[in-house]
This record gives sequence, structure tokens and C-alpha cells, in this order.
Amino acid sequence: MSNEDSLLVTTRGTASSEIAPPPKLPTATGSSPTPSELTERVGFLNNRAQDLHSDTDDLHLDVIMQEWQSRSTDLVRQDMSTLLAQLADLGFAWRDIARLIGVSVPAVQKWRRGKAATGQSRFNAAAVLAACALIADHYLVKEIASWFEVPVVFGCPITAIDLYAAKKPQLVFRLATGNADPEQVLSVFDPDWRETYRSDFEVFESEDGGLAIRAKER
Amino acid sequence: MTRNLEPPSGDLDDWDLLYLARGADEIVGHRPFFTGDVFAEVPVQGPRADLKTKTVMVIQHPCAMRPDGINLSESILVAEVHKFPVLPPDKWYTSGKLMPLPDLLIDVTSNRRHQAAFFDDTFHAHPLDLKNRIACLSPRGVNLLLQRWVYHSSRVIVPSFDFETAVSSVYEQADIIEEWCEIAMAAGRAPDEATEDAHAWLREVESGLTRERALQDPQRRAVIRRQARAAAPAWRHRPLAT
Repeated sequence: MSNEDSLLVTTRGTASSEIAPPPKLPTATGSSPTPSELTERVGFLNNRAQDLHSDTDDLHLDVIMQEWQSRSTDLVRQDMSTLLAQLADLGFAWRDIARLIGVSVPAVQKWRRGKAATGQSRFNAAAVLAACALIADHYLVKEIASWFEVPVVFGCPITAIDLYAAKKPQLVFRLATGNADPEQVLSVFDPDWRETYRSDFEVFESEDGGLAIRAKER
Repeated sequence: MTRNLEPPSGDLDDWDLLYLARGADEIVGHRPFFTGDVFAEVPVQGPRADLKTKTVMVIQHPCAMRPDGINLSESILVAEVHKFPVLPPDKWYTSGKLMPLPDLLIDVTSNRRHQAAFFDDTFHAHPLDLKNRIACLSPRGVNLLLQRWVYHSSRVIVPSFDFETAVSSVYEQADIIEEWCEIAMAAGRAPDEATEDAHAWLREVESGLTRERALQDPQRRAVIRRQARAAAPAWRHRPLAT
């Protein structure tokens, strides 16, 4: 597990602690545990439950990554223009498709017009499509392109597209599962995000219906 | 947190992030004019000066360029663009009088490849004189340009992400119009008709809101893009009978 992943989980366990039985604590009367013993026992069980939860979380991410790889490998058999057309059909903007694949917008436009793409670019396009399909299938996201382009946390502009484009697909999948707190995911991506995206300004709808910027009320 | 004028991407010198398209191979002719577009060979005239031909960048906010939301103003504010050395990322907080444009001229190998738009040298150009577009900025590029132009004009630094929130829906419209025209023209529509159709379609009310306005909500953009791609081949603007 990477450091980034470990940051998502506050309590870590070990294999030996998973199988160790709870400590047998001496009881004052022989049968009924004292309040102090109960606190010890329940605390131990709670730790084990948290360890188990974080381990299954990691296992879940591992199998997601494997499925993603497998789906990507299947999809890469398609030609580039077909892959791009499928991404467009999901509603992505071409500039976002370019960012997700890791190329420029003109490169995508050339591929759309039939120019050959490298194998790596085709795999990257297939991987984006595979990630969308996986998330839509398992986590019932109906508008997958919208899901990708809406900010992860209200008031902060970082989106799942930003996470994926920064080569952090594991964070995208963590978000999709709903098992990770979005704010924690952002903290892994950018520990200073709260400070970075705090502003003295706000965007508001002006009288002509367009959006404008003004200073926040203090 | 102290706010400064921002570089394109932290300490990375990835100048490609600034641009949507550069050079004749990449520029799409029917893309609507937008803030940050660079035009070559534009006739401009300073006060009490002779007419000259210069390379310029549009520095007006997209809404100010189109007072009625559709047609370009007859007077577009532009800034002169000329050679300027590459400003390393850690120096972008300086030089508030200009917008650095490193790698603007991608076909040029000399130092002339790197340019900047100079806010002290501004002109008003007629849209019909903006014929030779040589670059369009990316959303990131537009946000940084607006940040620097606002700073130069008012000595206020607004975070670029606030510009992103305020401008992204207008950028989205430009993208949709460009793609609409591409699809409609492939289906036989003339460029001007296709542009008119796209504007009319965006101004059509759906679920109580024009699509143009609905684009302000990032959550609705994907659906509107998909609808535009489906409608563009056959949708025709029918002006109301007077």
C-alpha cells in the first residue's frame, strides 16, 4: 500500500492482529467484567473492526484496479476514433478528454480526423473509458461525465478529472466507492487544499444573468 | 495565505497548459472569438499615431466582447504581442504589466518563439480586421490572462480559480459552438448559418432555463454537450415571425 493510500485510513492493522483473539482479562468477581475490563475488551474489538475495515478497503481497491486493467486491455482492441466517439457520447468535453488521456486538444482533433495514435495513447483512451464503465456499472453513476467534472467538495474547484489527470486514478476509485471521505481524498491529493482554495472573493450572478466576481462580505 | 500572480502549474514549465491551439494546423476557423485569442497582421492605431500592423491579443472579458451575447462589439480591446524572454514559473508573480506567452510561435526555433502581450500597449480593433488568428488560450491560459489584466488595471489579485468559476460556462459555450459548427457544416450547413443555429439553440429554454444559463451549473454540462452533438446535424433556427 502506498503512503497516499495509507493516509486515507487512520488506523492500520497487521495480519497477526487480525487473527489474535481478544485478551483474556482477569475479572474481579470471576464472571462479570468490571467497567474497566469492558472498556478494554470493546476497545480491542473496535480496533480489530477498524483494522479489518481498512484491510478490506485496500483489498477492494486492489480488485478494482485489476478489473480496470482488465477492462482497459479489452477496450484497447478498438480503434482510436471509436474510443473517442464513445467518450464523447458520455458527454465529456474534448478538452477534458484530452486532459484525461494526457495529450493536447489538437492531438485529439487529429485522431478524430483519422490520424494514427501511438499504442500508449490508445491504451490511455481505453483506460479512461474503462474507468467510466467500471464506475458507472458498480456504483450506479448515471451521468458519469458529470460525476467526473463536478467538484469533489463544494467550494473547492478540484474535480475527479483533476485527480485522474494528475495520475491518481486510485483516488478517483476511492471517491467512487463512497467509502472514503471526499475531504480526506482531497487532503491526500493536496494537503493544503483548504488554504489554497480559500478566497476573499465570491462568484455571483450579475444583473445581466452572467457570472461575476465580488469581494465576500466580512 | 498570501496571493500572488500565478504561474501556469506550480513549479512546472509546461507551457502547453496555456494554449488550446497554436498555428495554422491547430486553429479552428469557426471557433468563436474569445478572450486570449492572438491575431497577426491587425491594423491598429494609437492616439496621435499612424496606422500600423501588429500582432495582438484580445484582452476583453468574453461578455464585454459581445454586448448582446451573440454579436461582437465593433471595438475589441487588444494588447500588442511581441518578443519576450521566457519567464520561469517562480517569476510569474512579477511582470504584472504583461501576459507571458512562452512557446507561442511553435514553428519558430529562435528566441522569437517566446512572446508576451503588453498591457501598456492597447488598441481597439474592428472584428473584421481580426482575420488571421494564430493562437487560442486554454481555460487555464484565459484565467491567468484575466488575473494579470485585472491586476494591471486595478491592482487587485483575484485567485485564478475564481475566474475559472466565473468564466468556465462562457468557455463551454465557445466549445459547444465550435463543435456544433463542425458537425453542422459536415451536414451541409453554411458556417454563418451554423453559428446562428448554435447560438439560437443555446438560447432555447429547456426546463425553465436557457441552455446558455444552464451551462453555469457544471453538473448539467455533459448532458447539454450530448444534446448539442445530437441536434447539430439537423436542428435549424426558425426566427419568430414579426
